[in-house]
Amino acid sequence: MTLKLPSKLPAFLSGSSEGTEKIKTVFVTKPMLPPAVNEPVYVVLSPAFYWFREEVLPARNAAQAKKLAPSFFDTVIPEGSYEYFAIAKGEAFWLFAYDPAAIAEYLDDIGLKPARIKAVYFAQTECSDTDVALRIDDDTSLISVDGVMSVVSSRYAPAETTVEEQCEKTPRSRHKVPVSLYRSTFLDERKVFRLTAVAVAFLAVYLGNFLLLRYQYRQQLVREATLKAHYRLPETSFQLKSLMRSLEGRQARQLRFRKRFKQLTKLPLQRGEAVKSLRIDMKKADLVIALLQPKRAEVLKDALQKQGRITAAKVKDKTFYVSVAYE
Amino acid sequence: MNKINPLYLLGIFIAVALLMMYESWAMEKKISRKAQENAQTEMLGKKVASLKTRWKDPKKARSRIDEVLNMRPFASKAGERRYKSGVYKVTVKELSAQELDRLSAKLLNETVPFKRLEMLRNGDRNVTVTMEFAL
Repeated sequence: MTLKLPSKLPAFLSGSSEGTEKIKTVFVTKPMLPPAVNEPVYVVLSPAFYWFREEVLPARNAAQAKKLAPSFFDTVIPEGSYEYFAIAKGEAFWLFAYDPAAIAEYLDDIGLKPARIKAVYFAQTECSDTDVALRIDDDTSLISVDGVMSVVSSRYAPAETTVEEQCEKTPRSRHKVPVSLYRSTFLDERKVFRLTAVAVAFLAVYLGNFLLLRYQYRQQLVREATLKAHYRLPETSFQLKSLMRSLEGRQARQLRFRKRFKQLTKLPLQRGEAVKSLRIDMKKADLVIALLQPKRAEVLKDALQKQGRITAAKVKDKTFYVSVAYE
Repeated sequence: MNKINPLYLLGIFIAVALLMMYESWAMEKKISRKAQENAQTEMLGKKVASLKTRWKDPKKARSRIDEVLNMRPFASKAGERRYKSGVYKVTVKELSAQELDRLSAKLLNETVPFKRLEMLRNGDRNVTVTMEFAL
């Protein structure tokens, strides 16, 4: 879960100004017990959470100063993953270096969930106007030493007022710290980058696979064109079906022709009977058969009727003239 | 960390991954369909080629007919061979019953496109056969 903290909201929107509901401020230091919080609060971070420097810089504004900030901290703070924050203060700039992941983790550890945090501030921006020491707990106090908020032992800076009490008196500044309170034991920054690397690798593999598939598809298209050219097939399936019908019809007609011719050669002729002439085409057959007796014509006619329709049949001088129509 | 929410990254990744998975799935399906179509086209192509060679190749059909007619018993008896308007007409005269059987068996077993067949008995001993082929 992420809570975005806009850094340039006007104070009356984010602060505990008059006319709005009073929002409690929690001072967070190390170590501390989990605060009893049931509603959204402002969090003021102890100097233990950031490094601070005041510098005069060749910068026009805070944004330019922020870009220069890393060079001022690089050699003096431990190695880590830092964010930088800059505020213009007269001629100089206040520069901050902080570890947002560590802050978010600590806030989560002490039970301050992102939903309960309205905004996060540095003690430097919220308490530097105070001249007196502010009590953090029985042992430590927060005090401004040459304008720099520091935590010191209460023995050296006894304080009556607590930090929270002081913060309740004054409205919050507009210098909210841009900390993403997103924190998860499952996903930290390093893990996210690792996951991203894995994701990128996965996408690269998948992309490779996809390109391979596209290549295979193109191969299939090439094969289709090659097959059509090789067998001289028509372009459309309709034309192809038409061609197939034509060729298969032609073959079927030829096979029928052969079958009918064979049937005609197997007529039940008796010894002495003979086919004098036979003429056959795709549609009909005309036969002239020499008979022994005229009544034999009926037997032959019956045999021919099994093959097709008799369209003409005549017996003259022991000669049988018959025509058979097919289809 | 505070610039890009990892959840957005995760969301974008999941969206892109889903899109790619869908595209790959669709592409695999297209390839499979096209492969099936190609297999079918090849089968049809072979069938068409075979049918064309058998029934729609005038040159081959004529050479098959002539090959039979040029065989020994028929060569001397084969009469006029005439080709006109796609019809090849052949007459074979004075065939004995045995020769007639042999000729008809030879030609009917060949893939030649018959159009008409006419047999005329000349007396008791021989037969004249006239055949027309649609080339």
